[in-house]
Amino acid sequence: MNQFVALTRVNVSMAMYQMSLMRRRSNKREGRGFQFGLLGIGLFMMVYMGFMAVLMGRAFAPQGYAWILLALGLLVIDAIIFGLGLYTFNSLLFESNDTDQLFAYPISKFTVVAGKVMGLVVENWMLSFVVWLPMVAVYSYYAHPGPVFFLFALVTLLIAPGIPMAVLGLISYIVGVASSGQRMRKVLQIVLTVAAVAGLGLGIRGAISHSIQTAKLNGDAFALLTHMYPPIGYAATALAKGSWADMGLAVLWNVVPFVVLCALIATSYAWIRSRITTTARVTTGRITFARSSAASALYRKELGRLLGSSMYLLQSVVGGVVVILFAFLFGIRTGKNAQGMQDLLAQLGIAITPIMLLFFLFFLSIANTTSPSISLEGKNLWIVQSLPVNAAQVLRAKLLVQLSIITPLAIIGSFISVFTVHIGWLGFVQVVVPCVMFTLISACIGLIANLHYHRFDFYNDMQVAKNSASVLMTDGIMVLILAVVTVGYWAWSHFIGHVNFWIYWGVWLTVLAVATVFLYRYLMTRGVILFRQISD
Amino acid sequence: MLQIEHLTKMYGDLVAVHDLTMTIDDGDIFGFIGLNGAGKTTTIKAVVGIHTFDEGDIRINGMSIKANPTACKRQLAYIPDNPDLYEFMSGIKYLNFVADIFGVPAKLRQERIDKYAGGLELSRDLLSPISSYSHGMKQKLAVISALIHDPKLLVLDEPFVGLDPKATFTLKGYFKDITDAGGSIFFSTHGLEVAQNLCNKIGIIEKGQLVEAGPTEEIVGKKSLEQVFLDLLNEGESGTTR
Repeated sequence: MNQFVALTRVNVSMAMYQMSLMRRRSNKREGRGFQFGLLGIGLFMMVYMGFMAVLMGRAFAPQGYAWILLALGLLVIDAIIFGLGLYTFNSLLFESNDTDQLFAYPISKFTVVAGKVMGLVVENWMLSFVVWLPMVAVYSYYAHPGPVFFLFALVTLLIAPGIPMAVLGLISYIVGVASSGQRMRKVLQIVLTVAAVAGLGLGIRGAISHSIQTAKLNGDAFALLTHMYPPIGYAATALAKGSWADMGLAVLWNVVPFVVLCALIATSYAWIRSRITTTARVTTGRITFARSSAASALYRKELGRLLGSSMYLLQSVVGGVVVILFAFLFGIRTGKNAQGMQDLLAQLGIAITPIMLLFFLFFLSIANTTSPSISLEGKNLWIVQSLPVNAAQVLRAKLLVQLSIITPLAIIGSFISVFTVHIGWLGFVQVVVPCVMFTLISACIGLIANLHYHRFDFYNDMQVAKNSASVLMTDGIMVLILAVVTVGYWAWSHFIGHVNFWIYWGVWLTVLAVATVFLYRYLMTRGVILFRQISD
Repeated sequence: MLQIEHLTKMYGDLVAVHDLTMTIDDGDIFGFIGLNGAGKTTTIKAVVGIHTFDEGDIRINGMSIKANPTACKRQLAYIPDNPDLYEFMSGIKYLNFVADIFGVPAKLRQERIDKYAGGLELSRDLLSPISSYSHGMKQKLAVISALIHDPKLLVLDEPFVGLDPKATFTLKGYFKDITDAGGSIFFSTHGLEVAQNLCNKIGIIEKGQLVEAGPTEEIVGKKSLEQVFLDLLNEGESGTTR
């Protein structure tokens, strides 16, 4: 038990360090501002969740359905854990640098697995708490539950990560067992991730339509929910009715699959680990000695790092890929009735082009290759620092990767929208120019964030590409910019009057362009100095 | 070739290197010796432009690394104690990357890669990803990448760690080739016997300060380098105790 607790503590600490939520005692200035920022975001999220819960509570409580808040809260927790843990599980379990050392200690494989997974679970408890507390508070306000409810609410919070973690573990296990080469593993990870996301989307859609139909046939919503998804169904029933039996079943449904999967992974842990860390040698092929410029070499190096890491690639490019998928799927759903839908939107005073632009910018706000790029240099940083290249060249290569990967995706998505959503060529210009500008400014912000907040003590790419301070900060800033643009448009039309879209579009483009120039100049001056000082 | 003048490097309040001055002339093989944490790696990283420093200056062929970092780096090559290379590249891609940075023409790079990869027996593995390499193979690749642009100054941190005996012998031969051509070698080592046999000059650093530097035969005299090194450490410790 002591071994398990010690391992869990180490894993939680590592996760906290990486997210800059824990400070290390040293002479160097650490990112306290980021910690306060993240705390602020957490509080904002809780307030927002509470606000949404109050709106739903007003609708559901009079009919005696306030408990739906709890079921929805658990569903949101599942989705968040699943979404944020997609690549975490595999990296932490099979690709961490500390695994071989742990195998050499007199600890059972199950303890190693359980310790690592518990580190993740503790992380997810904190995320779940942000969603769960407002839901529980608002439910209590409307339903006035007894004391046992609060005990059950605590137990539910603790068991909530079980099922999404078990699904993630299963994906990791399949990837580990089925793939032997690195390339195959990367492909499999990407395919399974996309399949899982698509499956989740289709599942939710199917469940909603199925539940609506079933609810029309009989009124037992608890039975329906328990039948549809037992882990949440039993938990919601126990919370609403104060039933100990349902609580027991909820614990079993949430915990047992998770424990069984951990045991399964533990039985073949060493075998999977050895397959994953073994890289085949290449003995055939032709060696080439073609010469290129230093700038080109640096760019290809950056591109190679992106394409060589499935974690980095998935995390950084998925937003751009979603732009294309959205242009396709939205078009397929609306294409047949495009004119009708545009007429409907026109009656509401909304054009289709701003809608597409809004969605594209939202997806692009999480498409960023630069924000983890300096951290990912890691122990390789000595190479560029000792070579005769100046820091500006290195930074420019990192910016160029973002532009050459994300910008084409935005252009293709906009181009597809011309045909699927009928935005027209003028609409194409209205969409594509801000998207390109957004990609540019996102590249600069990501790089600046990483120059200020970098960590080289990560033990796999995933930690940096997904959870590091610079990535979270960049995504947050980009979403904030989008929120300001959107709220500004709404406020103008609401308080001042009709907004000429072209004028608003032009003003914001100018602001973004000026900001981009300013940020680029900052990167080439102060950023260069910061880069030189990094290894100090 | 290399002049270090009153170098001082601090990490916060901690003085890692204090007022270090030494010179490495053309043709020298300079061994840098000290205990763990004495300041060897910090000095080396300052020399190759990885670390900034608080006081003093470092000149390579008369040029300051502070004022002309890129020009200085063109003349040197560096191999760290632990060669963490780009694992997403193959060996040949990494060598081409370094050669591109130094602008080595295709024909010349091919000749040098053939020569050094052949000498260190890595030719067969150049197409393999670096992630499949052992520690020694990475060390060999780092050596080849360092020699690919024919550097005037080779700076190495514990270069023999991880190399097999044959590769160690070959590397010593390359050292001699470089110094015969007027280049210089500056390397840190814990192998006192290697330093005594290989280096014409030696520097001993303790707690960030250079306590001895000069021609090997002058420092060693009739004793072994090991004895000299331990005597110096004992003197330092008794001085500290006093």
